Amino acid sequence: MKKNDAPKPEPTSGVSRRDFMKISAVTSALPLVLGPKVVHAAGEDVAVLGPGKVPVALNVNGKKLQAELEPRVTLLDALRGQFNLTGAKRVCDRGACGACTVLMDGKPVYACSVLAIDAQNAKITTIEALAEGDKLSPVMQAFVEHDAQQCGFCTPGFVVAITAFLQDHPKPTADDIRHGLSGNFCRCGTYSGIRAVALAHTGGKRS
Amino acid sequence: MTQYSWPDPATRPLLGKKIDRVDGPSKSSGRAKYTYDYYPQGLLAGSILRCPYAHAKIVSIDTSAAEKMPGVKAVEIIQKPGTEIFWAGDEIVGVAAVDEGTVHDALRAIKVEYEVLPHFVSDAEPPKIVAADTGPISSDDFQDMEENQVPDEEVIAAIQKRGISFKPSDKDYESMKGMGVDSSIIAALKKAKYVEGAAKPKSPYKKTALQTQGEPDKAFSSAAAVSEGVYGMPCIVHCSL
Repeated sequence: MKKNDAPKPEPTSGVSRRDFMKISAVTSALPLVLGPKVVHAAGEDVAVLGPGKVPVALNVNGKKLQAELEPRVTLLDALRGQFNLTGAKRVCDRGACGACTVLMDGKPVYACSVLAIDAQNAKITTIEALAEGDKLSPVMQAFVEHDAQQCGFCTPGFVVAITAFLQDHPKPTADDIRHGLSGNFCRCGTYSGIRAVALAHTGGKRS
Repeated sequence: MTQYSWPDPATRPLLGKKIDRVDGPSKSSGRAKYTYDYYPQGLLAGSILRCPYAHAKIVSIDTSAAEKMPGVKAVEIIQKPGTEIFWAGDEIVGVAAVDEGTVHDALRAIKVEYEVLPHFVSDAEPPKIVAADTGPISSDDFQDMEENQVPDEEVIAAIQKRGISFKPSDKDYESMKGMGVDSSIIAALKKAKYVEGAAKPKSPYKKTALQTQGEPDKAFSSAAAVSEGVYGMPCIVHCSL
């Protein structure tokens, strides 16, 4: 799902990789001064962020959150370390396991692979916002009923991924589910329970 | 004799009943707090600089740049210069700092100089130390060659060219024979010129735990088909998570 449905990255600044390398060379030669810097590169003025902390404003679960973060901080680390939203887990930290899945403008993304500064213009939804107050969401409830978790470390990522998947695929087949959830791993091996969760929401047949 | 029987299914409190995991709701909602989800005030981040070589000696460690970095709280040399390291990943220096980014900056600022010592990382590769060594063959070298199944003609050529720095007794020859060393090799050893051995690096090989039961050679010779291959096992640790 993530591989197929993720929005294609669109060039926003017209800065190619080659230009970026030129910019890097320029910035590294600049003396370190406080405040934002602007360099002229690839025919336009480009603001240089960092290497120190910069103000970051995020829209998470409908709330405006602010923090001072180094530009290299990932969305996941910002959510967990700055805003105490610890439902998304950091497991592989390299975009393979899916335990950190959150929604950016409704699309599931690996929060470990998005920089917080790049997430500033998106609406972020974490697992914390999927429950209805103290009441579990239907997907969360199904995880309990189908015992689709053991240690539970991957579970929030799966819940977010399945929630988004079912919105896009209201009538998935068993194969759709296998393919659609292939971006998340469970080391305990609770896959059959997880597939049952997805199927339970579609009236589909278990296979 | 006392008779035991299961209680009537209708009255069993637990057996045969579907019971929800008590921590199910807190886990599936992401509300469960694992140790890893706590960020107490003043929590430091730590990481360890590890040796990138399977066998090396630490020559020098310079942590001065890391110690001066703002946000670094502690730099601890775990294994001092002069220590011999026997596995890639062994701990060299530990660092604690205010956040992970700073820790990793500090690790990168630490300079460790290693003297890389002979090691092999693939048991499919020929043992390089034997090929590279031109001095007389020691008892260790000879056993390594045999255990690594270096072809007999190569062993004989090496013995003839380099000489040997050990003097096998008749008993040693008997025991070699018993271990399956070819008679042509034993003959070559008997004829080899003795050369006083210089000090050599210690062999990197561990003796294999070889155990044979029954008669595998006989079984192979009478088998309808024989498939040969080299099989290896990756490093496996018993704590997967």
